[in-house]
Amino acid sequence: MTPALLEIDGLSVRLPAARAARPILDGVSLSVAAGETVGLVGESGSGKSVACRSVLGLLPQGAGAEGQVRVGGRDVLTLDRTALRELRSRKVAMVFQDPRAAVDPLHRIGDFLTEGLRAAGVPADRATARAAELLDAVGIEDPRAAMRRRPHEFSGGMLQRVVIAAALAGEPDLLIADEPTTALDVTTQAEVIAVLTRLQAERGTGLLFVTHDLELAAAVCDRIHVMYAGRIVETRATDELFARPRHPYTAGLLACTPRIDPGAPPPRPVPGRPLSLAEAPAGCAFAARCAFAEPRCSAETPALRPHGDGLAACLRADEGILA
Amino acid sequence: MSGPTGLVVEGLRKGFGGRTVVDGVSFTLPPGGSLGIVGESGCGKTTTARMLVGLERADGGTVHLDGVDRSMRPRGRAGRLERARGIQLVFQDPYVSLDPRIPVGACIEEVRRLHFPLDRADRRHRVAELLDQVGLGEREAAELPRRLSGGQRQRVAIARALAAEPKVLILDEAVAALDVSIQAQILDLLAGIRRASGVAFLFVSHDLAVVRHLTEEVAVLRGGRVVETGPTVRVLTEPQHPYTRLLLDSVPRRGWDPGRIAAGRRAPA
Repeated sequence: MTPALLEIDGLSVRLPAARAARPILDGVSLSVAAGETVGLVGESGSGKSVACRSVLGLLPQGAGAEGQVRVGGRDVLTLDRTALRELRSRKVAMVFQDPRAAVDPLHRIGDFLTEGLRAAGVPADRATARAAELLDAVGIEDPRAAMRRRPHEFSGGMLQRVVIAAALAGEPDLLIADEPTTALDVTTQAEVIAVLTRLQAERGTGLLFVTHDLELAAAVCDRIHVMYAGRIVETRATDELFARPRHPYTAGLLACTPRIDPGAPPPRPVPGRPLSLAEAPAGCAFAARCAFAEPRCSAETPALRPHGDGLAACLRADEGILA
Repeated sequence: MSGPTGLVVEGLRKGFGGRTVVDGVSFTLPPGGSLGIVGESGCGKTTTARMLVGLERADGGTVHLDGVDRSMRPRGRAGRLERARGIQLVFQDPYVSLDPRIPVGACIEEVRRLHFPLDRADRRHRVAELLDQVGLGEREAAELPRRLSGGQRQRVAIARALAAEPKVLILDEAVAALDVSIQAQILDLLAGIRRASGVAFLFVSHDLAVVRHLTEEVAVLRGGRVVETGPTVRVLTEPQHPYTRLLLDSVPRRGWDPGRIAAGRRAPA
């Protein structure tokens, strides 16, 4: 097995007690190897965005962290400013949901793309040539002309391609994509995902793909982590996760996602709502919404343990309750 | 006129600054029926919805609800209220569509007071009933919108729309902003409301999977025109128009190959 590019190891992130009753992240561990696509799936408040941002050393204001986030063996959480800059410009790149928030509206696309390269000491003409190459790779026609335009002259889908091009400019080992296509139309989403997965495969980049869309994660990822209320509740290879989920929350997510296939059953709601940061029930965080909960589920917090070929954090995972 | 004929839209047109956004859109929504209007951003689906409720004036075309022409501006307060009772709209983001300073129960009561001023005695009772219909209780009724979750706020928006006892409920991306487990709850709720009250749904959405489960008929919009229309099951299983096929192929699923779709799209049509 190739050594992991990214290892998140027992990461807990807490806000001061006055601002939150439970940790934002609670003992999250995951790894991404070169060329691998790992999905992080969950609803709002599950902690998926906080987890992926921690890889760049970005934590919510005022939050304290325990555990390690190792990129290439070095713990990101202990890096000084210079080392963090180095990490963000060379090793890890990130693509956010809203491309308009990621680019300066006043600067030309060409400046946006070459900025990082120039800062790293690449001569201007080489940087320009490289930027044009990247724009071509993400499917933007006439890259030289595109570089003279400003963000408002691009549609959301085209601008997200530009952002992906910029993310790849530093030839990162690892790419973090946080809901990169959520704001886009479906046909545009298909194109952007095609670009992202093709480039990732060609370059052997590791990809941590964060989404709320289980069907999209299934289409893109090799392995999926499902998060709920700050914890990973299930980890499994994609096909296995869909065929035989072991955690009731995963099964609930699968059943409530509307599917387009002919004959697919109507979406079945999960009762209740996701936990807010102000709620900290004892035991399993999902117990209140779980159809299979027993009294002990509200008393004992289930650990993430091997079940089948993956991991699940459910006291009843072995009982075949979802069969 | 023999019996209600539902919502009949013919040749609806609207342009903004020389650009035609809605270009001859026609469809029929029978009483108690459910029609999906699907398309991507800029296809004119929201502008169509806004014209139906009178938030935009159409440049051309007609809208009839149970035989009554809605193309002309209504006369007087009573006329406006009657027009508003016919079709109600639920927006995508309930946080923006609810008054932040008014408890949600009072907000629903206001709609009742406006439309049915004589039923003062049972107004409170109807408000409680409406809230109950969307799964909310007294405790939520006393809260300001910001104290409620996104799903609860969308329930309030639905109850407020139903308070006017409309014949047609337009849901403009009404579940798009919700978490998937909450979205399923609202879809379930909506299906139940339609069965119980016989209100017709016009479901405006970009999400084909959601439309598949909530509508009987569907119209696919592109560039302000209806490119395909028919029973939802037929359109989604045997699409006739290449654009409908592209939309369907673009929906992510297991074994999905986005590269092929992207290539197919770039090929000359």
